[in-house]
Amino acid sequence: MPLPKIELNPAATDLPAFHRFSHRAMATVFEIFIVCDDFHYAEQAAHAAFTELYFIEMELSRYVPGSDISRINTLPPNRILQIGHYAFECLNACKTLHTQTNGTFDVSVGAVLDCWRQAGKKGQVPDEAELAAAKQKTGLARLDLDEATHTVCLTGEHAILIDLGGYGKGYAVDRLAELLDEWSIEHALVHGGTSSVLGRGDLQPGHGWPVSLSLPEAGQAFATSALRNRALNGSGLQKGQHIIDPRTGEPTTSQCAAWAATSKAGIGDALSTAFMIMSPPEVEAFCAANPDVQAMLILDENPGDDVNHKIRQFGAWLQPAPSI
Amino acid sequence: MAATNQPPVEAGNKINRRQFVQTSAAAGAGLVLSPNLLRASFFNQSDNLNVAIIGVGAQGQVLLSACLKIPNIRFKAVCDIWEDYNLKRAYNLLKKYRHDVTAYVDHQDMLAQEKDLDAVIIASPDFWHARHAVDCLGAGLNVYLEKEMSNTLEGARQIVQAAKKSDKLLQIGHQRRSNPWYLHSYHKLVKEANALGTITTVNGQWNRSVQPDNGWPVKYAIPPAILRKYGYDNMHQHRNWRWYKGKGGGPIVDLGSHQIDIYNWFIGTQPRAVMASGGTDYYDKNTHEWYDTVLATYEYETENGIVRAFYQTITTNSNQGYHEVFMGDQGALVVSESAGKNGIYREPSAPEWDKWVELGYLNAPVAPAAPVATGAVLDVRETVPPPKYTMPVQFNDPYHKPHLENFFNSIRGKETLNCPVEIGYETAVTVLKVNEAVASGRRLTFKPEEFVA
Repeated sequence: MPLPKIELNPAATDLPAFHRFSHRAMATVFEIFIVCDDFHYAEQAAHAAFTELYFIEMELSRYVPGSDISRINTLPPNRILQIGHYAFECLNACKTLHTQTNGTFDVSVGAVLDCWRQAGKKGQVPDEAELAAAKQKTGLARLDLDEATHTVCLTGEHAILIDLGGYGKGYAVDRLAELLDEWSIEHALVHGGTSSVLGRGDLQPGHGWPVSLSLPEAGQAFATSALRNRALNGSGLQKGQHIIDPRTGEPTTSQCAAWAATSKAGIGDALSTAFMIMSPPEVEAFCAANPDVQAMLILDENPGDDVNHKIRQFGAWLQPAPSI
Repeated sequence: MAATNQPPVEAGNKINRRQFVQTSAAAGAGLVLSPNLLRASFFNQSDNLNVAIIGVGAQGQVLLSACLKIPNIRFKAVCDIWEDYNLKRAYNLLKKYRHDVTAYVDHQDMLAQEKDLDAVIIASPDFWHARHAVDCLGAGLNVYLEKEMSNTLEGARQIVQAAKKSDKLLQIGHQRRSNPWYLHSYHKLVKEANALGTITTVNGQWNRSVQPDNGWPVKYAIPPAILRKYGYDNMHQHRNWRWYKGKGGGPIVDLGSHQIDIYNWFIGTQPRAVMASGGTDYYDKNTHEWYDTVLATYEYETENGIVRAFYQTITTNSNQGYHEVFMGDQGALVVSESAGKNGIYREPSAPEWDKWVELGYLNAPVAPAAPVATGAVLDVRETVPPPKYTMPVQFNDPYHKPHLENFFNSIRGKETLNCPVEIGYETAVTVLKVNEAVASGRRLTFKPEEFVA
């Protein structure tokens, strides 16, 4: 299978020291852009990063047999399971983010999401009994973690279905950027499927990595930003996906797209998902309480509305002015 | 020596006694223990094994990660000459798991200092294996040694001699020997059900995409004096030792060895001859002394006749990845560590396999949808694919974990090794001859006594 094609702006990237490396992982394409005079060194660094990405995916993907997440998803309650450090770090962070977002970010709603997906394929809503059974497999609070032994134990009576889809890509982007740091690569952008992006250093000296935010349906940029040691994550419903409100187990219709800007792509991944579900005042309160976080929302209002009326931004964006 | 592989107890996850007691006690009493009480009974100090690892590069990190998912394994020492990078990384990981671990650059220092080790895992480059394994066995330790046993037969023989002198265990890291898919394939399908009939031909491959040479973070380069002390001309050679003569054996050894080991196991003997074609066709010969492309054909003589077994490893295209196919006059078995490929196909003329489906050795193929009844004799449609039987095996663990568990449980006296040194030696002899065959351009024969050190 060829890699999904991601178009870059040739005017922005036509620099002799700009190098681009792509790799398929986590059901999408990851890319690393490096500004460095030595192509060979940049290529080896990217290769080392993609090798690391392979191992991360092997531990985090619910679709990989033998991954820690697969092992947790087949774990009966009240058993102890030793897991790897990547999965432990992710689950620990996801539990914290679950609390911080008042339950709007929850990696344990996979079973409910599957129900809606399956029914959606047939143009239906899920059967109530199926949905009730799926809800029994949720509940991040039931996942007991012990750092000293890196073990998990599931409390309650039912199995759980964890899907790190809302965190794993961002976590991997952060880890890859750390690895490039170890390689003394100062100027790099790492992204997972364009939805989790972290920029380190600059594309052009002093200007960070220019990125744009577009409306899901139009693909037209309405804002730009520059990432310098900064992450930007996006979520949206453009592909007919559902985002489930973990508080109700129902699909939400609050926003049609949301972005979170933070210092870590993992956190941003979770927050952009949570911002799809929170009401705009909740997002505003979250950003007020967390000055490191900025949010951009596209409200799901009448299609005919002026697009500027649909945009809400919270927190201190460096280049906030939406421009169409 | 006969294979000592044990059939899987159950297809799938074994439930150990402690876990069984844990759950049944909790269920029986109708009470639920807190996670921390469950943890206290899960970890059993009397089962603890103190372990060291030598070599924490790519493969060592895979083994380390698998070990950290096995109960009651405590790392006391980690050893690697790349102090500022791999050693530090492994040490930091073990500290996160609260292991009371010490880091060493030199394995002799480690053996001199660490006095309560039970076992050592060796995942250093192949040309260090003999020295590391002989020294660890000499220090009275059980050893898990990554394949290939050595880059030379002389090195492999030294290891066999050291193992014979020692009363400790030596497991060679052909991890498929403990993989539930392979154990089921061999014991249930090939042997008991004889589902393939007479095996006539084997096909196998491990194909990989083009990769750049391994680099290294510039600020963490190993000082030249250290590199020289441990046998490397420079950092590039250290990071790419698998390609260098005198250090590794190239892809046929790195990759092929795992699968050719399975050829010997399933066919039940060692080959009598090999022909091979190969070369450094694509990469720079200065940095890729060993062959980037190898196609080899073995001949085996069995009591049921001749078996011809082809194997290829290429490093310029990953098409179809890695797997082995065993073909007999009644069926074909596709088996791979990558479980999605596994399947078994009955020849149209072979007896039905209903019995093996009933016994739970095979899952029946998914039947194609029946046509709507119209009175027609046949529904004409796209070509019917051959029926694919699958294996009712659940394996939901990292690839190397069962083989490491088999090693640790053998130390505890609960199991016997699935890949003792005699088997590892037979495989080393089988595989190392391929490079010789490529160089000579001739058909080379094996004498039966060559397979005994």
